[in-house]
Amino acid sequence: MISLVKNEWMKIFSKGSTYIFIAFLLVAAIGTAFIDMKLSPDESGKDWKQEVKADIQEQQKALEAKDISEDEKAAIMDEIDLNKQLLADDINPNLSTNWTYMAEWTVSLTSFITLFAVIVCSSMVSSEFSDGTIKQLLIRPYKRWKILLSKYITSLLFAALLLVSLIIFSYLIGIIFFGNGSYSDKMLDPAAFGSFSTVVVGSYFFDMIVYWIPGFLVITTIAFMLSTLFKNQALAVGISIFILFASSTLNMVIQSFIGKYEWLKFILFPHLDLRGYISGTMEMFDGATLGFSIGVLSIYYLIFLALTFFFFQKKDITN
Amino acid sequence: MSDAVLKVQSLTKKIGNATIVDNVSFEIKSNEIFGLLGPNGAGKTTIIRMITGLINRTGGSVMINGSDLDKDFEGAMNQLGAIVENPEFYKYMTGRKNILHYARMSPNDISNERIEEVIKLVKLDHAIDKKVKTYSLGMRQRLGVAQAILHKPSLLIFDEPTNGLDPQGIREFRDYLKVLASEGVGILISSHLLSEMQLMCDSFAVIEKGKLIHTKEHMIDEKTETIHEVSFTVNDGALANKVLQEQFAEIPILKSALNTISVSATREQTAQINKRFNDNELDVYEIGITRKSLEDKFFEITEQEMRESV
Repeated sequence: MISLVKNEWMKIFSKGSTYIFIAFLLVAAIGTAFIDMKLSPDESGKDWKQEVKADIQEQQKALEAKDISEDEKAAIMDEIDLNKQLLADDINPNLSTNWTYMAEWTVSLTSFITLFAVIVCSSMVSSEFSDGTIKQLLIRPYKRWKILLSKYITSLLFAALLLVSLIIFSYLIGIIFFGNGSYSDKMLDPAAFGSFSTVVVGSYFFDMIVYWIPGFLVITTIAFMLSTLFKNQALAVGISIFILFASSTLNMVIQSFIGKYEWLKFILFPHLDLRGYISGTMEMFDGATLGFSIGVLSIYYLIFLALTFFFFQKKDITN
Repeated sequence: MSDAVLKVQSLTKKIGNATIVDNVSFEIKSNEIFGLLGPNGAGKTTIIRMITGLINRTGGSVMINGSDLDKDFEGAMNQLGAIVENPEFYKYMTGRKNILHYARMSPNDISNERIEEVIKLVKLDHAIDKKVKTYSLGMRQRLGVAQAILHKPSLLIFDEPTNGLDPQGIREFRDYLKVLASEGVGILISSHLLSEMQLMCDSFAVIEKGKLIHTKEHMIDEKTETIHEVSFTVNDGALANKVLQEQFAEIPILKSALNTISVSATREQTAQINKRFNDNELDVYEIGITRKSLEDKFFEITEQEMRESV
C-alpha cells in the first residue's frame, strides 16, 4: 500500500500545476500580510494605554455635547465601557503580530486550500480514465479497492500538505512583516459583537483551523467521489465548488424553513462549516450542537466513501 | 495440461439481452504465441478485458498459470503482463518514472538492474529520461512492452498491438514476441490484421459474433494442407504435363504452358512430383509455391460458418 501511495504522490508532483498551487499559497500569504500592514496604522513605539485613555477622554467629551440623541449616547457609552475593559484586562486592541495576522488573514486563505485540494482530488481518478491509463493501472496484482484507497489516502495527504504549507508560510511571513508575537496574547473575539469577550490569539487561530477541517474533509471526499463516479474532472470540480459556495445561500433558505420541516436539519449544508461553534454563535436551529453536526457530517462522509468504493469495485472498464 | 499459462473456460459476457461473448474456451501454453482473430466488434477486446479483470464476467473461469482470477486475483495478475489497446502512459512523467511506477506495483522485488535491462532490451535508453509526451507511437509501444515484461510474467497479452505502428515498428514488435516466447512466456495477441498474425502466431482462434468458431494449433498444417499453387519451371512443359497426367491423375493441373506447369498439391506431393520429373529426365529449374494465406483460410472458415448458420 505504501508503494501505491508513493506512486500517486509521484504523479501529483510530476504535474506543474501542483507547484503553482503551493507557490500561490506563498504569494497569497505575502500579499495578505502586505495588505494587513498597509491597512493597520503603525503603532509601534507608541504606548497603546495612553492612546486608549485619550480615546476615553474624547468619548466622554462627546457625551457632554448638547445635540446628541439618546441612541448615540448609548453607543458612545458602550465604547467607553469597552475601552475601560481593555485597560482593565490589559488587552492591546491594536496588537499586530504574526499570530494576529494568522488569526485574521490565514483563516480566510483556507478557501484556496479547499479549491486546490478539490482540483487535485477531482483529477485523482478521472484523469486515469481520460488518459486511458486506468487499464494499465488495474491489471496489477492489487485489488481495486486498494488502488482506490491509495488514491484517497494520497488526496488527503496532499490536502494536509497544502494546509501545513499555508500555516508555515503565514507564520514565517508574519514574523517578517509583524514580528514574532506571543501565542498566548489576548485579543478581542472577532466573532463576538456587542459583548466584551477575549480569546487567546494562538489557540483562536488553531480552533478556526480545526473546526474548518471536518467540512473540508467532506468537500474533498465529495470531489473524490464525483471524480470516480463521473470520470470527469471538470464536472467533479464544478459540483464540489458549487456545493461549497452555494451552501451559505442554501443555509439561509434552509434556516427559514427549518421551523416547518424538522428533517431539514439532516441536510448536509448547514453542517459544512463548524467554525460557528467556536464562540457558540451557531444558531442554525434549536438544539444544534457540535456533536450533532459532527454526527451528520460523519454519516454523509461514510455514505460518500461507501458509494465511491462500491461503484469503483463493480465498474466495467470499457473506455 | 499443467503447462497451460492461460486457461479460459466457458467465458461469457452478456449486457442486457445481448450476448457479447458466448461460451468461449481456449488454452495457451508457454512458448506459444496465440492469435485471437476476428473482425472488429467480434468480441476480442471484451474477451481480453475479461481475462485481465477489467470487466466482469457473466460466466466462465480464467486461470493464469494455475491461479484462478476469482479466487486469487492478485496471484493471477502477478503472472500477467499486458498492453490493453493503445499503450497509454502518464505523459507528464518521464519514461523512467512510468516504468518505476509499474515496478513499484509488483510484489516481486524489481531491481534497478532489471529496470535498466528492460529499458535496453526495448532500445529506449536514449529517451527514457524524456517525458512520454515527446515519444512517438512506436516508442510508446516499446515502453508498453517494457512495462509488460518488467516483472517476468508467464503470460503476456497484447490487444491490437500493431495498431498505428509503421512497418519497421511492426517488425521490431514481432521480433520481441519471438524472443519472449522462446524464453518460455505464453503470448496472447488479438488482431483483425490477418496477414500480420500469420507472421507472428503459432496458433489461432477465430472469433465471430462473440463465438469461438475455429481453433487450431497450426491453421496451415504444412504436411497435409493443400498448398494453393505449385508451379514448376521445366525445359519441356508438354512432357511434364504427360508425366503428371499419367502418374498423378489425382492432382489437378491448374495451368500448363511451354516451360511451366502449375498444380495444386501438398508438400509431400510436390516432392514426389519433383522426383518423377527427375526420373523422366526433365530439368526442373524452379519450383514456385503460392501458399494459401491465413486470410484465405479465415474467409473460408467464416464463410462456411455463415452458410451453416443460414
